Amino acid sequence: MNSPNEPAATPESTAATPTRPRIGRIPGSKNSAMQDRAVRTREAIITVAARHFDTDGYGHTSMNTITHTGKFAKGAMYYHFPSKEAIAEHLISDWNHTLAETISEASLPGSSSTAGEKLAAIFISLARQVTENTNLRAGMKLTCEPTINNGAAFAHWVDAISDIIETAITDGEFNDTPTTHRLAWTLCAGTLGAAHASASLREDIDLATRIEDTATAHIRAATHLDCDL
Amino acid sequence: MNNHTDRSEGIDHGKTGRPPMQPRAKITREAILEASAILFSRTGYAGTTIDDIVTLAPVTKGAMYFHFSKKESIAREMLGRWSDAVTATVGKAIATGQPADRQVLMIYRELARRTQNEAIIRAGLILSVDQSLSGARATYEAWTAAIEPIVVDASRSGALDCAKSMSRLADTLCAGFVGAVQVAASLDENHTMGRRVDDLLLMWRGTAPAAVRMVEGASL
Repeated sequence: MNSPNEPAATPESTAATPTRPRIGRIPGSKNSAMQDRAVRTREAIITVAARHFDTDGYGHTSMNTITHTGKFAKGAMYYHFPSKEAIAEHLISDWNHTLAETISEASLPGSSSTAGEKLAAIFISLARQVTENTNLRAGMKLTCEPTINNGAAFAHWVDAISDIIETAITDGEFNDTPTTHRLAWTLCAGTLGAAHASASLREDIDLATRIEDTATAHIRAATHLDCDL
Repeated sequence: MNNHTDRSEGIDHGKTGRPPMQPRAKITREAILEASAILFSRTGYAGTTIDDIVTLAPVTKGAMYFHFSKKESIAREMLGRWSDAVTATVGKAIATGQPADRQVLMIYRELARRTQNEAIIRAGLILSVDQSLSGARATYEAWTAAIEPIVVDASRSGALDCAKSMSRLADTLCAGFVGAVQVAASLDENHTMGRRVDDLLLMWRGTAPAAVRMVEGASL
């Protein structure tokens, strides 16, 4: 299903790398004028697909549903993405990219002093981003979609958060309990649950607030244990 | 296990309109639901067809359509089972007459235990956050609404220290619960659900030894 003119540089083959995937033609091609429009088409496909994945669910969305918005031709869609799964993989890799960025931003020296603050900053920033950005929200939900090969994206997320928590336990900031060792999983699953549930709940509280509630309560519990004794 | 004797008015009779035969029909009905629950967790609700269910369940297509005229009827039945589990658990917890914060722990632990052990109830819970399904939203809202008064009670009695987000705590716990179940189900780690929910409750109650004993002691 590769595009006949460009098998080596299909967008998917580069999607796994942290840099933005290159669209369409190889560098130095004389037809570089196509670039801008191709980028727009590709972004439109991703946006429409993400909206459907987010509201209807991955399983309820078909390639036909995605083209029915009429913003692009079916042929154009299949040029960029050979399958629904390819779009999902792209959204997941965008999510992984954002996650890595968010974590490294919070890890900059001087941005937050304690591990608790750092974790809170990460989850609050993620909450804000997934609330504003449908593509990202869809990507986050897809990390736990059982029917696609998501490259263990959820485990990757948990591992990244777990690194911070394990360091905090070693430094003595968090208490060394089995529950604290599993805190990363609990935080990530809670965030995902909030994203799924917020669609079914009262609209007066937005998703960002819900994720903040979950994250801050858990982090506070992990840091202020001694006062409960 | 469940008591399903009193749901005759809720049964989808298909096109025949006859009430189902009792003991054997019930076994068939449960077999269909069990097979559907397995398939829904493996390929998702949307990705499962009636044909897949008939292939997996030891029932004929005719029997299948006798009990459930369409896939939505199966989903509706699962949502009903989950709601029943919530109602029964909340009722049992209130009947114990324990302090409200202990009741909250009991409810979540009991629901976690049943979600871990009963595939149909687990499927019902996961379907309750499926937005494409009519009735899912109402099921989820009924769940949070049933727990909210108890959580508010617990906060009023001073057992909880999160006054700021007190009104949202029931929602937060439910969202954490559904997230834990979804992730565990998608990673094929159903056996960890009970422990995951304990973690969730510990994070909220604190992991001091006294709180750990309290969480672990709260069972129905």
